[in-house]
Amino acid sequence: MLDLNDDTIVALATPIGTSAISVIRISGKNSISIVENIFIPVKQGKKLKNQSTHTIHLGYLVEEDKDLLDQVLISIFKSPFSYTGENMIEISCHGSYYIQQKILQLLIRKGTRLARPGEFTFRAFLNNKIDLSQAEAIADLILSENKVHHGISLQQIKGKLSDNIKNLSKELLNFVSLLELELDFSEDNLMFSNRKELILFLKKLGNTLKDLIESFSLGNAIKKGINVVIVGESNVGKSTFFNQVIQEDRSIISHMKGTTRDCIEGEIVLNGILFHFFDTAGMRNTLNPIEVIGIKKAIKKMKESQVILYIFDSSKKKKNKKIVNDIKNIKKKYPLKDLFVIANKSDLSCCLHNFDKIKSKTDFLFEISAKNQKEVKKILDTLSKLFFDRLKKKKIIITQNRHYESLKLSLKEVLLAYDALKKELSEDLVSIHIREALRYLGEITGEITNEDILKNIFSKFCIGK
Amino acid sequence: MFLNIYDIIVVGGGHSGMEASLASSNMGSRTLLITTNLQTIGQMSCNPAVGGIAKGQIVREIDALGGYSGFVSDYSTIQFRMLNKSKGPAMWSPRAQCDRKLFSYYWRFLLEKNIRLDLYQDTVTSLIIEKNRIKGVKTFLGLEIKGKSVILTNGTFLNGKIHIGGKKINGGRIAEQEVRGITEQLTKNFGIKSGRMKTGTSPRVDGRSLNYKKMKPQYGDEHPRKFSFFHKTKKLTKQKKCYITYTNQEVHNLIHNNLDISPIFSGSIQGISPRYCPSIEEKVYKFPDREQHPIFVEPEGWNTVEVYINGFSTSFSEKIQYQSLKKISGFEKVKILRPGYAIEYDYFPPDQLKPNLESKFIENLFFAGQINGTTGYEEAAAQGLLAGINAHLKIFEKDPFILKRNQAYIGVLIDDLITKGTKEPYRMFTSRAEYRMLLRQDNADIRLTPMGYNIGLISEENMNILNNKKLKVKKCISLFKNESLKPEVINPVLEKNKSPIIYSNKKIKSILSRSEIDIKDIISIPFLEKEIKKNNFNQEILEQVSINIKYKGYIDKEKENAKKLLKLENLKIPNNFDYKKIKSLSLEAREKLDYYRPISLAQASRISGISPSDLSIILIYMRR
Repeated sequence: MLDLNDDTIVALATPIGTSAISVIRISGKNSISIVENIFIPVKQGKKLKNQSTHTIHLGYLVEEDKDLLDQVLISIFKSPFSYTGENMIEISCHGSYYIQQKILQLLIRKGTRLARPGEFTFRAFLNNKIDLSQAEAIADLILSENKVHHGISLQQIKGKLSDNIKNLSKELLNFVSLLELELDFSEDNLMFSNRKELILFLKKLGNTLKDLIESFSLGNAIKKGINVVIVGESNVGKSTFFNQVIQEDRSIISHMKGTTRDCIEGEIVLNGILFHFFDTAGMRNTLNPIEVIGIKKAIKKMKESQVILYIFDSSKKKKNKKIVNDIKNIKKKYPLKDLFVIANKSDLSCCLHNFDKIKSKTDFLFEISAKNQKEVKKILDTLSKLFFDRLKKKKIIITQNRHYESLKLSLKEVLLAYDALKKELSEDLVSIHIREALRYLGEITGEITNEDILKNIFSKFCIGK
Repeated sequence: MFLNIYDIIVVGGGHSGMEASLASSNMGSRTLLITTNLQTIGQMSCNPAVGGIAKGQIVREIDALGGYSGFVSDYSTIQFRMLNKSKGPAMWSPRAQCDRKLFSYYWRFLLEKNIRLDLYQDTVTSLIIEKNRIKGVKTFLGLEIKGKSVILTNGTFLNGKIHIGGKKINGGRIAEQEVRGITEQLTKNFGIKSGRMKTGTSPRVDGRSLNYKKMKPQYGDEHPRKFSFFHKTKKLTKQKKCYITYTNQEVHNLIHNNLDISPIFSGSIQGISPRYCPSIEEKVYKFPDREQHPIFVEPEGWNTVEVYINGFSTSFSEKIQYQSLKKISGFEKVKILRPGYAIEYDYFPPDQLKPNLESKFIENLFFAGQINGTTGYEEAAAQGLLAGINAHLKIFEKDPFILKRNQAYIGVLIDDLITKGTKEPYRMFTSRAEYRMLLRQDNADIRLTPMGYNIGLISEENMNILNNKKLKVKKCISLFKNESLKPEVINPVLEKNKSPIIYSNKKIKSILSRSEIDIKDIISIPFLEKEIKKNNFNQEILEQVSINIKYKGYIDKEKENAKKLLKLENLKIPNNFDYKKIKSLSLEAREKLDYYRPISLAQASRISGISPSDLSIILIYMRR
């Protein structure tokens, strides 16, 4: 649907991927207040809303848990003196893919919506910000961008995703037809549907939607890469391992404990799948404030990763108990994440470790010397095979943010319909939610109209006097 | 005898023609209603009932705008029911069984009372059209009557053909002559498309021959309501009963064995029939698994033995009608008074009309009712009303009166017709409306009466009645919002209704918004009772308040959605907009838009095959 809403839109203005800095653009009435909400200016007490247009402000973006996300520059453009003619904010942030996505997601949570192709320009046009002679060019632009967009969705349409969603839509359509039938033909005193069955059906449907939504993170994995965090005590060889993986000397390797104080990121592609590796500070009790920050970051990274690589030094026998404990804790805290346990320094080890105990805690245990390229590669092969197989197994994967959003909204309505049925509200109210749910699914596969509902009714039921 | 020139000539005296005539003459146009038989004005050709689901809402809307269908129905009601009372308020639908004779009697009375309206009995056989502009009509008797505007409401009469078994009878209704000439002239000389549709009606039988003991009676409401907001009619103190019975396997077998000689299956009927109102033979054929179909026995009036057999529309020969009816429980000794029949007729696909129901090809020629491919008295009357209003506005060079989809079912009806056309007889359903929660029967006056007032169909006095109602509703809502109930006062009520009790004072509003609490449960609380009495909040007010509070979430949600659409609705596309020049539009879009000529971006968005990017492109060119 063509949007003439006064909602606030957001998009990355620079290309996706790693660069020195990237720019995120926000346009709409609430741009300034939304950003104000997540921005801590360096100069205390500064309010963005009180700043004049075309000014730049340094500060930090923070997440809901007050975690600092990034140091950014905020440029303010006030209506009507902006590109779109609306209130606009441009955030210049650091150019890692990870940061970009984090900020976008934060902004969406705070009430913005991902812009559609050409939407900034379109708004600019609506607000008479663009010269009339440019009109034709924009029309062509919208057309071509839609074609690209269409091309992408065509790909999806051919795929399983669309089939699956079409099936969901069809089931919903049948469902809403039943409701509508009872409403529009209740004159005939006919009862078609059994409420209990309807409730069960909605529950099942909700679960299917949930599955699809959850597949987004895996889908994201293909598109955006899988996060792998390397953790372990200080000086067990995390950085050596990391450098072997990405084959460049990025981490400072030394035998001093705590040399890696910050998170270091590296990317590799295995079997067509992108992996982001994070080397973290060693987990040890320390009073050094910088290291404390590093350890905090390591914990945060663990939360955000799909795979945790736990490395320990197999040459140090004394630590056996602590290692088993560490592994237990990680398993307990992150039961859904994949845990790889790596016994490093096998070249030095006297093989006295009780590996059986550790083995029982994890599916993946490797004995290696991180210095040995071949042994590291073995781990990488296992890792990539794991995800490759998983992708192959999963029938449907949501990769598009747009689809993800639509599915989430659709699920919300399905759950509301479920509640309404449970509360024994009238079918016409239940139907409002189902129609909304259908509308959101329709954003993925194409709209379902009232006419479709009626057609479905007439093809299935004998009605009318 | 005739005026030198009429402002408006209405062709046809059915539900559509009558509403059109009264609307235009009430607005000040000198109007002529011309029909083949003045005796059959206001005839209910099918079953003797008005309203029903979605249709009842339309009747209320007609009334709120200043039409008369509701008033006449109220006057002739023999049984009233509010359907769907157990569902949400959007579904409550008034329906009245009417006395067929009183219904047409009172319509005729209203038409005669109007001093700006002339009636004349003759058949219009062709139109006088000069330079694609209507100038008047020519009649069967050879008269030429001049008019600035003509409204065609020919119903099923254009080349009507009746089927009863193998018998084919030319006619527009049983025992009434069909009309020839108009379709031929419009299609051949002006390239207007026409099509064929089919509809059917049920046999009417002698009520004395039925055994009602074998059927289930259906009573009217204990507290019957009225359609009209403003016209007062006598309270309905006694009501007639309807009855329900069912067909059975024996009936189905007999029908099944004779399917090949039913005109519908033998191929002699070509017109497209409605899926939702199938004949009994179609029901048996399409749904062989169903063991029974319901049959509704509806009395035709206060003082007649004739009853209408609803659910048994058929085109079989009278012999098979009789044989199969006899096998229905309670019908063993049935005597048919009038056999049912099927009728085929010409219609003009309504996508050839502008939103004001005027032809796209001939200026000041309007179409309304069944001629546009609709079915139902209510749908016809609604179009007649709007055609009458718009014909008047057009000749007085005023802006057309167009209802939006979020304003009225009538808006949905006309928008559907002109943007999608229709291939089968179009009937209104609540599911056709996107904003069902807003288009309720109870608020039709709030939605539409101010508009009726602005175009001059609603009197100052009735407008005051509405304003008074609105004021009271507002007052009552603020009372409920501000006043609290003490636990000791309300808890007994809550317990009785299995609602969680409260421990501190709660606003009335929050108690009422619980789904298990009805407004009736709380108005007997002494303090409230006093307030209600003092402010004279009657049942209508309390119901309005209750709906507004209980369904606020849903109402707000639909209002929000409608608001989004409204922005597109307000972006008007100039009539002379040249789509063909815009190369960025797909060829299909260019052709469709050029054909439909939507008045707004919203309307364009509803044309099948028009994509959001097409809309963006149009918008950009509109700004040029």
